[in-house]
Amino acid sequence: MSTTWDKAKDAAKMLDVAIKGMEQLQTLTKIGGDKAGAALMAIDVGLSSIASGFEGTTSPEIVEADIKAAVESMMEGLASNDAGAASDLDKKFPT
Amino acid sequence: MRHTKDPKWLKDSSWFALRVLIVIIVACQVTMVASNLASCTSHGRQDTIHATYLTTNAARDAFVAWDKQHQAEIVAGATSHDDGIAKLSAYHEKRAEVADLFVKMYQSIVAAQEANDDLTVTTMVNLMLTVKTTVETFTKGVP
Repeated sequence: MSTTWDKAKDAAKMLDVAIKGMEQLQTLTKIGGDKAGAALMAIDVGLSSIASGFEGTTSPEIVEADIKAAVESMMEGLASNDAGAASDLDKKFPT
Repeated sequence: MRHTKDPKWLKDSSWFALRVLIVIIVACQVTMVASNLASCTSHGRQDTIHATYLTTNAARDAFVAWDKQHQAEIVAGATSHDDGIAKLSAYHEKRAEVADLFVKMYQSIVAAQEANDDLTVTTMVNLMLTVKTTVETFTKGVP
């Protein structure tokens, strides 16, 4: 099971791809000025740049076990937070 | 145990609050753009699903971290043990709606993965937008 740090790095890769695509999109849109057609063409090119950014990356299938683990991770995290808060409350107001 | 291994910057509460928004907003942009590509290439569809999965996980982790911080704030502001219990219970009730939404988000990823149509991908992306809106509203306006 991947760690939070691994997942953060994966997310960062995706963000990097998105940001590069968005930057190219912005540049191309400026070149196109206010003309809607030019802007649309720029968007198409921007989308293509994002698509090419995706190429070469591995996108494995998400299996049900991944989803089960993801949901369990959330539930365990929230339960741990609840227990911590209850403990802190008991310490603050000892009976 | 997982939280004890997080790097120091991941534990900073203000960074987490910001990260919730940044990750979800950019995730939505990625998934929306990628969804347009999904119908063009088979890789595009799988990339969209995978990107949504990764970003949902990142948003989930950020939300869980924010939850910890928020519960600590509730305890800090409690005027008595009973007051703290009441406020935490009220918060848990509202938080359950967000947790359910994350579960639905994950279910939509499974549906998109198992099906071979555009509808499930579109539904998944739209749900991502709902998650973004709900988490934004929730983290700004919870009791």
